[in-house]
Amino acid sequence: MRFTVRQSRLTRLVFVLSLAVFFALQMGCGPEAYQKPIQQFQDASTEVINTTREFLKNANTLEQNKVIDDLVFSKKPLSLPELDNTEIISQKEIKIRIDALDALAQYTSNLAQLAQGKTGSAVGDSTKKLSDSLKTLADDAGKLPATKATFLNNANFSGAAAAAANAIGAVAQLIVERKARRELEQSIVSNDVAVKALIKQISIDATGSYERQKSQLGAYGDQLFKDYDDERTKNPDPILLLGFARIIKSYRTQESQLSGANPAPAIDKMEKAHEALVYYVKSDKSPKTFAELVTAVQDFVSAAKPLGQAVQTLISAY
Amino acid sequence: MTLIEVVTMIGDDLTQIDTRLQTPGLSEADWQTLYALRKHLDDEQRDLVGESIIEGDAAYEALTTQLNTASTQLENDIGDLTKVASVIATVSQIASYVDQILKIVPV
Repeated sequence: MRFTVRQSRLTRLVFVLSLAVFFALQMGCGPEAYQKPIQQFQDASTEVINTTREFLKNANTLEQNKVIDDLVFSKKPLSLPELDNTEIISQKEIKIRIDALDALAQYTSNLAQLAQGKTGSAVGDSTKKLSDSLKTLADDAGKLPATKATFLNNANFSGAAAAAANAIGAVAQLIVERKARRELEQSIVSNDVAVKALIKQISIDATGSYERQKSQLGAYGDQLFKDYDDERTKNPDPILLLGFARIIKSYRTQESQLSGANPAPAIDKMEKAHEALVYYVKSDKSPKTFAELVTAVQDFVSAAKPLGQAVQTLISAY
Repeated sequence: MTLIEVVTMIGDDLTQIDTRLQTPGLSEADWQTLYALRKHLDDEQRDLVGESIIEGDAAYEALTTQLNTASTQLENDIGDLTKVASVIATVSQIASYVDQILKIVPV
């Protein structure tokens, strides 16, 4: 009998403790806890956007440096205005991609607000503007001439941006019309394929840029090695050799920083964080799904954090 | 294999070639031959990165498999100075596969 009473008390104690743990965990993913990963996502997005802009610009710097080397080696006159026109990625192509990345980051932030139950007209209007903005970017990309000078596929980008604009527009419409939560969540999930495809396309463009810059830099290193080797096997001028040493050191710094400055892996992590948020939006908002979201955001933050320093070191190595 | 994966694979091949070209030991003739092939492969990579390819295409898939095998061969031989002729032949083969991939790009 005494044993049964004790067992009953123990059962109640376990039940009360379980409830306490449950509510503590629920509080752990309440609005305040939720703000931190969202703020981290926004900060990491800003870092990735800024780095991507500088990284894409660097492709032009490398190209212009190559032209300078070729002109100097062939003892031809240097024309600085002509050099400025040497672009393998136009300013317009860079801006379109950066603005799209910015719109995608803002869309993810809007989804975060929806997940907190904020379905007011401000979120709806903001999401509608993002859709319109992406539509304009898609049109602009579609109008860019297909030239041999660029290695970017503007037609692919335009198609992906137009699809994402339609997808986000469909979600915005439901928010503005204040549709039922379940219907809105279903729309966010079903439209997300197009949103992720655009993030992927920007990552592909960044990877393409990285591979081209790596190859340009490698060719420069080959020529540098050859020139140095030719000089040292003649009757070398020590001053000239010291000049080579300075250039080789700069080359090695650029080579070591280029990979670290490549934003593509961080953009892939941004896509994963976005995906985790979409999953969280439609989930039961349990501590488990919240923890998965936090992990995905942390991975994104870790990938984004070193980019700024790496790209600055890369640029300053010239 | 996606197109960007092919571009990255070519990039890895170029890095292998650069390491060889930037290490003493090659004769002048071999250096010049390898450098010329490197330049050709570089041009092909630049053309390929801006293209669209139907990735499920059987001919494309077969070529990427052959490219992958040749890239592995290059990685195995590139550090061995007794295999320079083989390395040059492999890089030519890689360039040929990439050329064939470029030819199946839809217009």
